[in-house]
Amino acid sequence: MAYGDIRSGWHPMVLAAIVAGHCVLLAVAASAFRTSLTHIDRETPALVALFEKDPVQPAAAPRPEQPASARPSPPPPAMPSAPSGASGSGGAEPVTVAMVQPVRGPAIPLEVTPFALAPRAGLPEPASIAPPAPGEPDLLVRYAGVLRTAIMAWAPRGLHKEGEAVVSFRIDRSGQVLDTRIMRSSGDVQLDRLALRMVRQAAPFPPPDGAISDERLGFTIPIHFH
Amino acid sequence: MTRFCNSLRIALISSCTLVPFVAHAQESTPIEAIDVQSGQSSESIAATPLSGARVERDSLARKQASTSDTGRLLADLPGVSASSGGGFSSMPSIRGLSEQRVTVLVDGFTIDMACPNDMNSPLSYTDPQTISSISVLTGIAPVSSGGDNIGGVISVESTPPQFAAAGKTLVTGELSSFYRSNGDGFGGAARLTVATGSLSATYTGSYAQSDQYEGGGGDGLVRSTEFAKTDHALALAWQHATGLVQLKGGIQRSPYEGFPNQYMDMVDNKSWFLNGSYDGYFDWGDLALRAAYRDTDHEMDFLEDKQPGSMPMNTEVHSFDGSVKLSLPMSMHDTLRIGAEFHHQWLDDYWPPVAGSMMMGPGEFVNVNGGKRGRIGAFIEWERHFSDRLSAITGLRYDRVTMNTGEVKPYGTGMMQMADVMAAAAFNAAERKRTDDNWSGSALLVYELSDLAALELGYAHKARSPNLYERYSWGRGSMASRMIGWYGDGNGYVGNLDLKPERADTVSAALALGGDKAGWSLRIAPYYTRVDDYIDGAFVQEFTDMMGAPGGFVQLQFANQDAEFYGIDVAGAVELGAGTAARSTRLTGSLSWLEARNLSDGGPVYRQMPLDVKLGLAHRSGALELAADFEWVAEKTRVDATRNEPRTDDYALVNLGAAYTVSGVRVSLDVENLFDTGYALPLGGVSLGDYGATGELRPVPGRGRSFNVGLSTRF
Repeated sequence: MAYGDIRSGWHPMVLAAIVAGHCVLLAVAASAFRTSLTHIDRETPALVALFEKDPVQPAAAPRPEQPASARPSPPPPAMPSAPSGASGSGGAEPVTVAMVQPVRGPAIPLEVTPFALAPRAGLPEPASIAPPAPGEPDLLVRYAGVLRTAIMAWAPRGLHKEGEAVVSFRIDRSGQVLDTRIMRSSGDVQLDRLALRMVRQAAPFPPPDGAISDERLGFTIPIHFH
Repeated sequence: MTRFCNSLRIALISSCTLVPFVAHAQESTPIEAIDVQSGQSSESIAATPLSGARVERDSLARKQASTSDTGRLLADLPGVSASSGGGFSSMPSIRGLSEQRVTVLVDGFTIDMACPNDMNSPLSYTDPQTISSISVLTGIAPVSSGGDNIGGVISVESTPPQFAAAGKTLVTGELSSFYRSNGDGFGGAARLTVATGSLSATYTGSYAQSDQYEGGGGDGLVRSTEFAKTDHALALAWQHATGLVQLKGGIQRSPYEGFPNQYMDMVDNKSWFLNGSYDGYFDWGDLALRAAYRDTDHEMDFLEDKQPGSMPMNTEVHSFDGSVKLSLPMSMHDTLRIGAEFHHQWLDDYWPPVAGSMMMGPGEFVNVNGGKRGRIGAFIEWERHFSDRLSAITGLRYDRVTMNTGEVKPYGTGMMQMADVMAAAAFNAAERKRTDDNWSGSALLVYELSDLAALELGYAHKARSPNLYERYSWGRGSMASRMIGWYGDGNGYVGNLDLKPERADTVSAALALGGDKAGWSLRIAPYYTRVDDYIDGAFVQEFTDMMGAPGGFVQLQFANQDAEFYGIDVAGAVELGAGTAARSTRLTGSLSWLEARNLSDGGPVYRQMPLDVKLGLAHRSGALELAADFEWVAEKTRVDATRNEPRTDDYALVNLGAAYTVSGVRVSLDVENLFDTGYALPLGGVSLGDYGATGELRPVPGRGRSFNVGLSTRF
């Protein structure tokens, strides 16, 4: 039958297209998978280095290179000055700082608890982390606000998905991101990847104040999509 | 296997690395959480602009006991109406544009026409019981949403992948069933998902059947409205460090579906498909790869109401679809999208001889012989958020459509077949290869005037090439041409090799006021579309009966004409009293008005919905849900004289519904058409099933009163 014959002339092309399509899919999936492995491999040494740092660091003592009084530095341009209550010298109270929302609304007060004052439950010895130099928490909180503003500017739009990913990242003294990772997954790879992308795209950040020690340049940020 | 080993390895590595993460976390400075919201109109410009609507699972679940027809269900949305076909094959029409003028995506893929009457339209492969969500763009659809169309976009998503929390196993699903008293319809559906943190498998299956329904009032039985179908699909998904891989395969089988407004019925439809996709999310942007294959075997003949007699007609279609899309964030305000698509349709349409028939024998009638329609498209689109309140999307698209087909032949060479013999000879002698170069462009702008007001403006120029039947149907005999056409008007259609692509220019606006926080909302959306070379029917001859007298039906040939469509959609909602999550009362209303003119003959365009007003009241109090809906449709006076389109009277319908959820099982009872009002469907066409049995030609009547019971549970 005439119409039946046509099909045999048509098949190879479509078959080739299907095979090619699937090869492409497999190749991309495989390359993505390799990326995932290298991703993990790349990060492992950094984690090991973190382990080695703690024993070397003298516990409960200011680092010698840190001056006793923090070098005064002008606040970052986008930030209003912190309220006087947040001097950080006492260090026992949560620090409150006013922060400008980058995209909408007026300045809202943010309550940020400095890490050293809010040890996690089950942490055996809070003193294993070097205590901040006087004035450092204040600068750190302000700097965290700067980072938040920069990251938020890269929020994806029109996503219509729900979930929260917590990203942890470290930066160097020039504001470059050293590494980023998902500390707590949202359970959705798209949200996790977009959260990481926000942090990476926002970099390089303004250089941190010299009074903030290198050890303090690790941050975690929850990104909540809804 | 290697993949699974690798996944396991990843899982082990990641769990090992949790300890140092905790140690690391103690040193990290916590930054205040960021909220990424998607609610704002200007931010959602790409996915759901103001002139779009999204129907979620919850509202589909409320309606699934009343209809198995996704197209009819969408007609609840302002700007959308449904042209009746079979029991699960209504053709959605968006702002007056229907059939292939509208893009219908099922799980991201188009489904090709595989019938000269378009019986197995894309939405016939979906079941309201198993759909997860439906997005409808009634206004300007960005060019990235698809090419080869001039209207809006309907996108059905059936099974978005679900994953478990890390280290856990997720088992979830849904079961449902329904019974409809009018037509003795019943059916059920099941969805089961088993997932880990990275792998997910979902099975969905559904079954639905119904006998002929009774019209309201004294309309009696509406013949050829029975149907049965079943769908089964398995979807696999794997999410890994950088993306998501999905594979989905499924089958659909419909052993019978009557068509009240066609000479033929569907007596078998078998279709299977395989879809694959990869979505990668990288620092430089998103990558989406898609590939799909679908094979459809479609058979038409007469079901009981159109018997005695037989006239088998078979259609086979193979489709392949592949696409690559990139979404590249260029700055914090700009996103660039580029993409390329390839689509190929192969179609065979042949009508086996009828033993002992002079007219339909001795050989086969070859209607379309290996018709091919290939499309290669590419687009570039730029999304810019100028500020927090102003965004725009502009895009340009090119599609090249190539079509060709083999030689054809009529049933035989007898005297009664002379018209077809001559037509076949002319068709076979003609050059049949056609290539169209179609350019499209779209621009959409959303501006938030205040927290309570947003404005959308859009313009698009779009082009659609003719489908295989519009170009390659060739039979000029009365019977052969009456087998062609998806209009439900009883007329015969002849294809036209010289058809040009339709080119449409649309301007659309939408003003949205209020919002969820305000407790009320109002949306007003006017539009105007002008279509150059609109493919309509041009008069060829009048069909006569055995005695040589005019029979009321005509033969038309597809022809390029010009047409314009304009109208307004209004929708509003108000929360009565202080609504809470557990207790709320909501009043909704909508109005759709449109007019369409054929500029070539000055008359109205075929199958346009008259003024349609809907009011709804829904109350929810804990486990109890109550609903009352009212619809009024004006008299249809604007009818297409070329096609002898029937006028229909105005009508009002009242539906009531109640549902109660107890121990996780939702039991619902709906009374559809409470007063058993008799009415004619304005877009129903003529009731040919009844005509054959009674000799009286009437418009297809709407359903009379029906008590619908639904049961569903989720786990």
